[in-house]
Amino acid sequence: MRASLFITCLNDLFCTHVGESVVRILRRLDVAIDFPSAQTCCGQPLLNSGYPSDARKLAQRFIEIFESSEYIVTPSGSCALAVKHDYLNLFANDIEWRARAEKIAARTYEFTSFLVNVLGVNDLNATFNARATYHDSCHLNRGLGVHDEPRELLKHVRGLELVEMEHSETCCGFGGSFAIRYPGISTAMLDDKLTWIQNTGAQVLVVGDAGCAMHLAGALARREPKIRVMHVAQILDEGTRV
Amino acid sequence: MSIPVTFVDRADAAIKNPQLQRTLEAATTKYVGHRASAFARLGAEGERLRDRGKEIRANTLAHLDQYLETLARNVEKNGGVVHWAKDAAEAREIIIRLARERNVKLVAKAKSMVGEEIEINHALEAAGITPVETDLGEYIVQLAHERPSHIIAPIFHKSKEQVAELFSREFGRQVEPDIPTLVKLARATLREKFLQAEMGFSGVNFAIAETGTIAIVTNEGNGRMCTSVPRIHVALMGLEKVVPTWDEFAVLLGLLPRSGTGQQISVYTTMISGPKRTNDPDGPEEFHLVILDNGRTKLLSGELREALQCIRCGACLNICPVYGQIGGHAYGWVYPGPIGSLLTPSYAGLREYADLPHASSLCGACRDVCPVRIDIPRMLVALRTQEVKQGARPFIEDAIFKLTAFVLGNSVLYSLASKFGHFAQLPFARRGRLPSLPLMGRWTQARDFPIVQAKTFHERWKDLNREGHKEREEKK
Amino acid sequence: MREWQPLAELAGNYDALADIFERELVAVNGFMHRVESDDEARARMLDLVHDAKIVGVSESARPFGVEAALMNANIALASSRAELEKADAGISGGLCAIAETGTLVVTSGFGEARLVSLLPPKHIALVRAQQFVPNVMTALRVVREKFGDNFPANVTFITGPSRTADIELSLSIGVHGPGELHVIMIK
Repeated sequence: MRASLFITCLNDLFCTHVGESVVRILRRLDVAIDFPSAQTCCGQPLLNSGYPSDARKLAQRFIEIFESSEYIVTPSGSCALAVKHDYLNLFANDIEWRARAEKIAARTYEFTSFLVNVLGVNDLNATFNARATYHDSCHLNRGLGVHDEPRELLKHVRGLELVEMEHSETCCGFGGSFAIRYPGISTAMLDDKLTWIQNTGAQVLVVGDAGCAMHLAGALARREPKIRVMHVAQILDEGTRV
Repeated sequence: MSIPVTFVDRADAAIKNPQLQRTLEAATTKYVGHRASAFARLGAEGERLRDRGKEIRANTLAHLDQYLETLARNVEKNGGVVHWAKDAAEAREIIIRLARERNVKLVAKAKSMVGEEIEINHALEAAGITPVETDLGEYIVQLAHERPSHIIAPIFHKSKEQVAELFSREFGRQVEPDIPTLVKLARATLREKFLQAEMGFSGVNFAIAETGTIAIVTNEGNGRMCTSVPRIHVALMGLEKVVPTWDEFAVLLGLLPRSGTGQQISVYTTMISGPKRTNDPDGPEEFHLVILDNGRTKLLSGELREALQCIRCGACLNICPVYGQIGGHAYGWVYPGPIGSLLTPSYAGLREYADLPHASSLCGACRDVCPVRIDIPRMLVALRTQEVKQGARPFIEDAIFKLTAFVLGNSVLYSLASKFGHFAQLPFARRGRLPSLPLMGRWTQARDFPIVQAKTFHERWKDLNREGHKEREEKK
Repeated sequence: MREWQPLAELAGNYDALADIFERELVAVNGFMHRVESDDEARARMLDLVHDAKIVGVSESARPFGVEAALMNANIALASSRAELEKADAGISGGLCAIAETGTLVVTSGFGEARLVSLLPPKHIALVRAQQFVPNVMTALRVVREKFGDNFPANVTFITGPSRTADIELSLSIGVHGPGELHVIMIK
């Protein structure tokens, strides 16, 4: 099986460890992984801030880069949603590009969804001793309906005690440029989320989206530096290292 | 206390208000829970009901003029009078004229959002006519000279002590902050008003075209009082509130209370088809229906058409994490919450309310609970796009986005930018994080910013490939 | 889904419908009284108004013979709006009763005074078992069938006594509409 990695701009610049873990895990599962190096960004931040033509150009670039891939795997639910959903709307009035977007959309998967739904894998024989809690990123959960897959993977990790936080599905307050435009509201939402995380007594916060991760990790670094913020891929990777 | 002028100031003031925060949490948690229970009880049928609700509302909007025509014809057949108001000013003029011609001194008002929209109370007072809000929450809002902070729970932001204080001032004596006492006092006072008022004024939850009937959904009984006791009843509706048939009304009636408060049905659903008939011993002698446009037909032909499907249940407010932090007043106009972020810029000006479409993380919780499945996030982005097109965003913001788009479109520029970013931020890095960074104060006031890695993933890929080859060799 | 008809399968099964109606009515703080005959209904009604001075009676209650019973018990019948405003209770019948939601349907027309079930603080409604229908959609059809082209000026669904939770989200029963609702059902 072959798959191309779409690393996403945030993971590329800030959370490189996530990408590394994704690659190692997929290789361990015998997926031949390649990395089209021309890739940059899916364009969603531009679309959501009101620049659809600019987003469309980036979408076209993305489609051209990844069109020949059998599968496209990405660690970020937001970007997977952009490709699987937003791209179809961006090309609603263009028959040719719409068809190309539909093909790509069908082949694009967020990491946990790829493991569980395409590879049919939920147990990697991983061991990771910690109490962990999982935050449901809005785009991954509500947008793509990926809610059970990360939990399935985490439940099979030996030594990992998964505790559900209250309101795991409530937005953390990142929302892209929202966090910069309305820091007061964003921080108020962040504060609530941190309370719910702290209430679980977890040592590890598992988060999929790089945006949510940056936002939550940035605050935890100041208030609860003992809580480690990790992607599912990182837990599986560290949990299966020899 | 003066109300701050900008959205951000209002929002921040709300966040720093401990009493408001407590009541917001209590109210939204309560209604979210009740709604969830009501829909859990329905099971899969509930989802089908929402699908049907969306279908009904979308179909109505697709043939709106036809159904409005049928409605008007049937209202007149029942002996009612229909008035068409293209905007708030015209609606006010119609209602004041009706009141003046009939020597109305006192108007008993049942809750109406569209009444707030046209600011009818100010207009009546200016004309020397006294309006009295009879919905308990609205009555208190009126005494406090405020706006309601929620579509269905107008004064959840007030404590019983604050209400008692308002009553003490109004009645010139000390009133105990005891809820049954407050309710009893309000009941006795307002009962007098119902019995004295020459005109009753109401909104309309749904207007059923089939028989020229308007339906009003209440729990207190003031809706019935206002529309049965005074000799003239004036009802004001937004033109999107029409429902073609009784069968379709039954579906929407099944959705509205469940979505708003979790009730299967409200205490009173009053369905009014014109003035009293000749042999009726009671009921109003005159019935007037004022049908208001005020920007609605403009929405009908655009990307925000779906926003007109709204049945004003309040579910989106209750679930919204932003509303849950800032409450209703921060939105600055009649309609708060997610639906308000669509309607307020549309009816009251996109430039004046440019913040509202952006004050959302696009989490989608509203779309999840809307009884008629309105895709609010999609339309928030549409408004953001309109703002950019109209040049309503600050120049520097526009420049940053355009520059970002340019850089992201080119691999070389992208990798140069990431190198630049890494070196530019080095002086500010502390133990692998950035506790402060020029121009990023809004972020760093509450959280650290991550550092741009020395080697981006693009650059790490070579090493990973080598690693991968070694592993494969070892496996063999 | 073309039609939404919860409990449709129970149409005509008046015992089952009455059970569900009672459960829903009680859940919203209404009172249900089940009696076997018109005599018993009148007796129960008198119990409920035993300390009343004036009572309003609407046309739809007439077939149950309540007026004579009240007069015999020396309770005055409101004969004007002013008297109705002071009445201790209002007695009506109803067009039908909706099991699904515990709702009583009252209509104007045929001489019915709508204020009898609204102004006094206590509302007593007499219904026969055969008047129970499963759901809202059916009830609305019953209204249309009864009135045809002469649609009544007012149709009201009454589901329990009036209530508000406006102040501090704390529930108060009895606001502007009646604070007590009693439904007397005759088998």
